[in-house]
Amino acid sequence: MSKKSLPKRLKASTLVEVLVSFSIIAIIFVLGSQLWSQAILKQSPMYVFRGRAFIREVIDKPVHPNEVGIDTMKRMPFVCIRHIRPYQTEPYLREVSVQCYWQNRLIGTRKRYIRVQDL
Amino acid sequence: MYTLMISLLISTILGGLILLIHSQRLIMDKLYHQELAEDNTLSALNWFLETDEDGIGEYKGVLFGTATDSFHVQAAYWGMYSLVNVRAKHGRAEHHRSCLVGAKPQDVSNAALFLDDTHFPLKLVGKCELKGTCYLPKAGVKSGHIGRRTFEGRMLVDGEVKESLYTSWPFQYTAFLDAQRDLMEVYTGQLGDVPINSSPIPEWHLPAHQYNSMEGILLDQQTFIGKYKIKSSEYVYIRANTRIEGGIIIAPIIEVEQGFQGNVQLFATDTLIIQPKVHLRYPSAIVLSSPDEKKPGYIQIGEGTTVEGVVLNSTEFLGLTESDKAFTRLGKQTRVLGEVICKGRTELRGEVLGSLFTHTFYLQTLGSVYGNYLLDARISRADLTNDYVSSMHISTPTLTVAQWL
Repeated sequence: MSKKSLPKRLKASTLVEVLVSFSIIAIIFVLGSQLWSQAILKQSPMYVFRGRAFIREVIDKPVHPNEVGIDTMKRMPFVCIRHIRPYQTEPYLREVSVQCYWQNRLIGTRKRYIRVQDL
Repeated sequence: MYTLMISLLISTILGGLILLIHSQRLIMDKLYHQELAEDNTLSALNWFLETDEDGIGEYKGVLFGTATDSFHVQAAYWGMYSLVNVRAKHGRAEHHRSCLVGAKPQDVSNAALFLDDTHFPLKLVGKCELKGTCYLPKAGVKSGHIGRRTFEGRMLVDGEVKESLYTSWPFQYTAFLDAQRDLMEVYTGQLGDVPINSSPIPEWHLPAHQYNSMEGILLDQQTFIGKYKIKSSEYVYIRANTRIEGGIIIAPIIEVEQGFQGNVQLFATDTLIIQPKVHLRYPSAIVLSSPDEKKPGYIQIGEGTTVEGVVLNSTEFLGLTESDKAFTRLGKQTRVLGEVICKGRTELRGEVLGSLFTHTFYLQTLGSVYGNYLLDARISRADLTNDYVSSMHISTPTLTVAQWL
């Protein structure tokens, strides 16, 4: 019987190296999760972007002279609430504020003074 | 050792990804705040246009009662319009916009024709067309004859006819004269200082580049884009190869060469001649206002010329005979998109798509001269958009943006 040679001893990480690696990953994970939860989970950039585009459309809408009060506009999954108030005693000026919600979270607000138009 | 390297690599990639998303969010927020500042400029402008009566002045304040939103509005006459600069802030974000503001014609100023009552009827000959509300003398409008020609249209007036006798002129002369006084104040400086090519980006929020000369000025192969005011005490001749976008020219005599194209406001006190085939883009102005009551002003617009904006001959000569009154001549195939206002006589051979306000009409043919006659002329308010914005001095309280700069 031929005597098989023993395999060479594999190089492995030491316990210290493994512990240091795990601790680095753990620290990065903990720090990153904070930013991640803010940047990704709470407000997805894509949703925020689409939501804000919707607010822009709503605030650009012309206001009729008789239009005063609150109205709601939906474009799934967003809901915009437009509030039209008279501006002091000016008959043709309105203060319009729009709030946009996504899954009950406020993702944007815009305000503008708008001159009423005869449509 | 490898584990350490791999873990560091993974951490770097993870950290990079997180930073990338975080910076993306920061950029989005910055853009959003910039949009809110832009909103504030619009709010400030709307507030100014609604609350200010004459469209001139300077205001600073906060918007929506919040400390984060503020504005600064500056408005001053720029020729026949008001130049409004709005600067608004939202937090640290700042936005600036400039625009020319004019008035939206309403009621009388929105009419197709306003003809003073001189006890003579208006007579139409040839292919005349009057479309829109017309304020006419009590004697009305009739078909006339010149040689063998008579009225060849289908109806004399396609629109409502009203009496002009008890209707006041749809133009605010007092406000116009105030603006004229401001306009004439040009700093002294030689035209030699004018660069051949101005900055390609006009800076409307900065003071105007003003040039004054005691001699005549020939504008040849020069470019003026933006806030330029050029004044001569004698004359200004504008060559077709000159480029003017938004500037103002002031002189007793102004002449524009055939083929010129641009956006310019011309203010003369004696004579204003526009040669044929000139195109003055909106919002342009051709204004003649003579300070000498004994010397009526004269505007001539050549054949095939298009003017988008205002043609105004404002000189009023009380007590003089009809033939001495200020005179405005619009040649054949001339087209004015906007309004023609003449306190004296107007000879119209082309078309006005908008409004024409005049004291009397005048028509000169090879053989004779006719009073209150129109030959092959066309005045149509319907062919001009309802959103058209006129100069600041039209009698109406509705100020609105004529052009974003």
